[in-house]
Amino acid sequence: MLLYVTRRLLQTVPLLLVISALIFTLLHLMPGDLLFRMLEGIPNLRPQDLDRLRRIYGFDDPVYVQYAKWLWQLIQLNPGYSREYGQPVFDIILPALKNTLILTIAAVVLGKIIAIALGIFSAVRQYSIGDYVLTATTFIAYSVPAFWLGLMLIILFSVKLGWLPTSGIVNGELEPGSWAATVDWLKHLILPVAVLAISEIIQVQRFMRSSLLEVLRQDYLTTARAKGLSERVVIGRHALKNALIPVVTIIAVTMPRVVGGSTVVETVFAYPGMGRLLYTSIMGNDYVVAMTVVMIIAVTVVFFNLLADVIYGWLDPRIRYQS
Amino acid sequence: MKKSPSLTRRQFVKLTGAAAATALWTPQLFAAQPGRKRIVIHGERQVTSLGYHNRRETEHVSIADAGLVGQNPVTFERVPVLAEELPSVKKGTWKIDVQKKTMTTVYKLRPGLKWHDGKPYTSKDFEFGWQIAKHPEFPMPDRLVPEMISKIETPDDRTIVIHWNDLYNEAYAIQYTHVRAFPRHLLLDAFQGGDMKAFANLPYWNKNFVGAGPFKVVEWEQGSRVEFEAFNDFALGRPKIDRISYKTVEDTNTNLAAVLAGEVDLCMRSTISFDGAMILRDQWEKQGKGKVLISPASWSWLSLSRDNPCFSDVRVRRALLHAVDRDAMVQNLFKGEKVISHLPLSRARKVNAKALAASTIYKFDVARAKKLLAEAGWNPGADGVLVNAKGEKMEFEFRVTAERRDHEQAQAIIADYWKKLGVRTNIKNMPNRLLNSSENRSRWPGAYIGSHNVTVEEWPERFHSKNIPTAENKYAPENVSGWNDPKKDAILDDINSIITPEQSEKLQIEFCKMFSAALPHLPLFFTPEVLVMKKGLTGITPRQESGGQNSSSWNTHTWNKA
Amino acid sequence: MTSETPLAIPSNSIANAQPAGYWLVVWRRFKRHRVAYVGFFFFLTLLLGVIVGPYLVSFELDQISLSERMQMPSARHWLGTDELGRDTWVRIMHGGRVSLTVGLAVALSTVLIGGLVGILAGYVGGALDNALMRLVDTIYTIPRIVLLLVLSKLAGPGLLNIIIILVALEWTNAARLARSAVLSFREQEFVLAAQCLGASRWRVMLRHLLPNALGPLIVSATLDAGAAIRAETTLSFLGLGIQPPTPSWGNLLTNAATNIFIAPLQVFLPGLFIFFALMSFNLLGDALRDALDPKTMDQ
Repeated sequence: MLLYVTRRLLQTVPLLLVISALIFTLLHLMPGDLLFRMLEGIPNLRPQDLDRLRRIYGFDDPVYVQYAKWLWQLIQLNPGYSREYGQPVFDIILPALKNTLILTIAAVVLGKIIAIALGIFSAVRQYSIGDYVLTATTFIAYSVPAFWLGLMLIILFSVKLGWLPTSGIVNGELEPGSWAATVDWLKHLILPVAVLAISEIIQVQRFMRSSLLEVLRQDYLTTARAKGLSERVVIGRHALKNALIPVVTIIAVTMPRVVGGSTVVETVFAYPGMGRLLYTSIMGNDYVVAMTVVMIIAVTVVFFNLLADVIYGWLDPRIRYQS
Repeated sequence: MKKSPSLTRRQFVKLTGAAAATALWTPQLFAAQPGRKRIVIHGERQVTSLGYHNRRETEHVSIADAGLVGQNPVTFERVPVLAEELPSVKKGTWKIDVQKKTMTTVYKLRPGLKWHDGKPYTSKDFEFGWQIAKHPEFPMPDRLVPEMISKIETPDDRTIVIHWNDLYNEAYAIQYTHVRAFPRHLLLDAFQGGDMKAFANLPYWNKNFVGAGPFKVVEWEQGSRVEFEAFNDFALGRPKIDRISYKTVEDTNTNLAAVLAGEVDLCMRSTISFDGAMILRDQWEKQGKGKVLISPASWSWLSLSRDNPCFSDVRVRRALLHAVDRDAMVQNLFKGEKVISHLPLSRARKVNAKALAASTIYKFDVARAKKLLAEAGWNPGADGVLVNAKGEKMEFEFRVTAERRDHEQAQAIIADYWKKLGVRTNIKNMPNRLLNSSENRSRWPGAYIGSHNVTVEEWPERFHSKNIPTAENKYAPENVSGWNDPKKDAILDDINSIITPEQSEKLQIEFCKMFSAALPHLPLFFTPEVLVMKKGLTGITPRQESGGQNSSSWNTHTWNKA
Repeated sequence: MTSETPLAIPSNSIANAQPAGYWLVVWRRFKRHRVAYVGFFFFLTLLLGVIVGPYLVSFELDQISLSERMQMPSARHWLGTDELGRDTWVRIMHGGRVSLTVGLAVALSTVLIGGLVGILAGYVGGALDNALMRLVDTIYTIPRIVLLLVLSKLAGPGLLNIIIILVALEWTNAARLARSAVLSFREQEFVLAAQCLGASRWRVMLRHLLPNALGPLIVSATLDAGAAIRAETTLSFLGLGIQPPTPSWGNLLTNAATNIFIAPLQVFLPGLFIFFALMSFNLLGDALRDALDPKTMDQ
């Protein structure tokens, strides 16, 4: 087991290198001028100004030199400065990461608990009216784009009812740390968390349902039933544990989203998190920030994939790892 | 689709519960101290920095910052801010040597100026600011003005003597985007430290900004929110508003919802779309909740490619303009806002009426359009599409920038008019992100609807033949029309030399006349700029012209809230 | 990582012994599935609708009528008009052509590319398998949104580019499914028998392995089609989707969103069609999954 994990960890190093090189190249492949977006609309710009700025920002070098420089800085855990924000990259990323973690962890925990409960309900009452209603609801929710759902909730709860703020994370004038500020902060979280939680529910609920249905058909449950155990015990003690195995895996695999955030939801609610940062940094050619965000997410993906495999093996003793 | 009853109900229950709970527990302290005036501004662009970086975002910059001179965006007057008065030739504070092409201007600072941190603001700080601007390793984009200055002398703490190595007609009105002071006491060590990369990325340029504007930065939440507090020692008096919260909200629909929900006091620039403004007029302004102000700011034009020989005949260009009912188009696009344009000249300029009278106006006239095309050798072919003697069809690509909704709609309407004339267009729109180099931005195969500022000061940029983008100049200059005419160039050279206002007016009229005859661009309309403000807010003047130093937040110290 | 999912692989022997019989069973079970009918019916109606729809009315796609802006449905304009007086019915039908093309093309291409790569990797094994699967892992590890943003920034906004981008993102899943299906069959008698009889590698792959890997691939394709339509909507929101004036359901929805306060119907309609499309694909996918999975037989 330890050997397996070590081997897998070693494998991730070249994987991450390839990914970073790939994304870096793609970001630089773009035709046109990396500085253009930044300089757009500034009059009196002369060719010599363009040359000067390109030299200052190091865009003169060939792509592989820029990549090597970037990689060397990242290894030293000092990825340099954001061109767009004029601050050290980590000073930009850490606050965004904090905001996103708060938002997504709340959404994931809430969403997944509800989803598993609903999934169990659907599976146990397969083909009941409740199951049909749930399935239909999931379908509808699945086909509603997140930005649209967000806008609807804003219109309902902020414009019509006036209960919740439309966007942002804090009111701004309240004493930070005070009771009022905390309540205000929670109010800002409700809508984005709701939208994200709904998409969590959709994915996991259906998965939980089919996984449990699968288990319910197994012979050993028939045996358990034959032994005269009540349905509650059969499902609660025997079926659930096994049905949760693949669900746990799926949850672990989707965990990196907790770090990456959601570009769409964060844009709609003007929430300063990783998803929005990723979008603006890629679109604005702030590639040092973009690359660092990408690498943070990639590392998380790799880690959780590994974790998923380990958990899977731990929960399901039939699976053996070969070294 | 969105009306999923059970989902909404579940959401509803969950959210109602949470909302009810929070509402119950919230102490009624949201107004903070009584009597304090706070306004919330929404902006659509991220606030990234203050100082010399990112000059585009003028709104938030002029909240925290001030230069020697400012500019009224309605009358275009230059007004002294930190300087006591503007240098003038009459008073001898502006000396011009036309022979040697050198000048001297003398600025006197107001007495007792202070930085936001309370330290005195002196002429030395201004000289220091110029040193930063012209440092070769400092990423200041546009260094035209700093490079025209040869020396700055500071005989005393309040006097700035600027020596110029070129003639510059704006030398009497140095604004903060040209050259400005920086606090020596905070930055000198870092500047002399030599690491310009570290210097350019100091927290000074955002979080820890110390300026001399009407408001000081008290909180800086990267990319989302900046909190400003009134600066007691501002040169023109303490602001009447105590606090400004400047928030970035990119999604226009969210911004619209925020206005309707009463969360925001002021939306400037393109934070609210024109369509959104119409909705607000209908559902918000009518109920007396605030004002929606629309001002024609930048200029939208249609340009026929300078590379395409079939447009080189001016009769073709005139015909294509005659064929479009711009009145009806503007009426429909902008719900009756009178923003139709005939010239690259803002309506707010005093010279506008005279210039219009002297110029050719192209009215909607299909018969005349057909006649002009026939004269130019274009006649309808068998399929109704115009053909010339060589058998070439009048068919070309028609492009707009994809995110520009007004341009997309104008394009659809114009293509429709042209179709009736026998002109076939292939619509191929480009998203902004693909127009990502100067070359892409300045060349197109057929027709293109674009827009830019039309301040008279920028005319040479846009229309002088030395500014036609080519491979040699890396497509950096901006005369995308390719208009090449020595007589017009001479006028432009004269307009931006140092002349009297009367002379300037005459030349401007002459230029407009030539423009309307040559039609390098087909003028369409002025893009309306939307400014939305909640009831009770006073003192805000929407700018009448984009570009230059025009900013609607030029006078934040006089803003007030009832 | 492992990709064991409950939609998994028919490991039962009925499937392998008689491929023809297997498909017959599948068809019979599919027919018995009521949900499948609903999904299939919706799908056919939509497809037929978008093909025939534009010809039912006399308006053209870009026909502007400034005097008829933002109208409610009427006998003249069945679904009303948009902000330029263009007929919404025509635009939604044309948008449907674009959106369904995106969905179907992406689904087909992912199955083809992913399927071939997966079968090749699973059957040939060794270094090739290793190389291909590392490639899959790499693409899989890069967050979706990153690839989506970077690629769509790189490529133009055309229909083909959108399809290519979505395929580049989605094919890895199909490759994994196909590979694991092939792995579970590779050592079974009928494949070994074919090899003993001297069948070439390609023949074994195409004649014997492909049909067996097809089941899970078809299921994943129906879901991919829906996912692609959804992804196009998201791209439209971010300004990276199909560009107007070419309509797609995604950009119709996004562009109408501003007018939610004055013309809510124009926002609701494209959303409704997206819902129909996704629902039909999902119902179809669910039905196919049940039909293809021998374990759920006789339930």
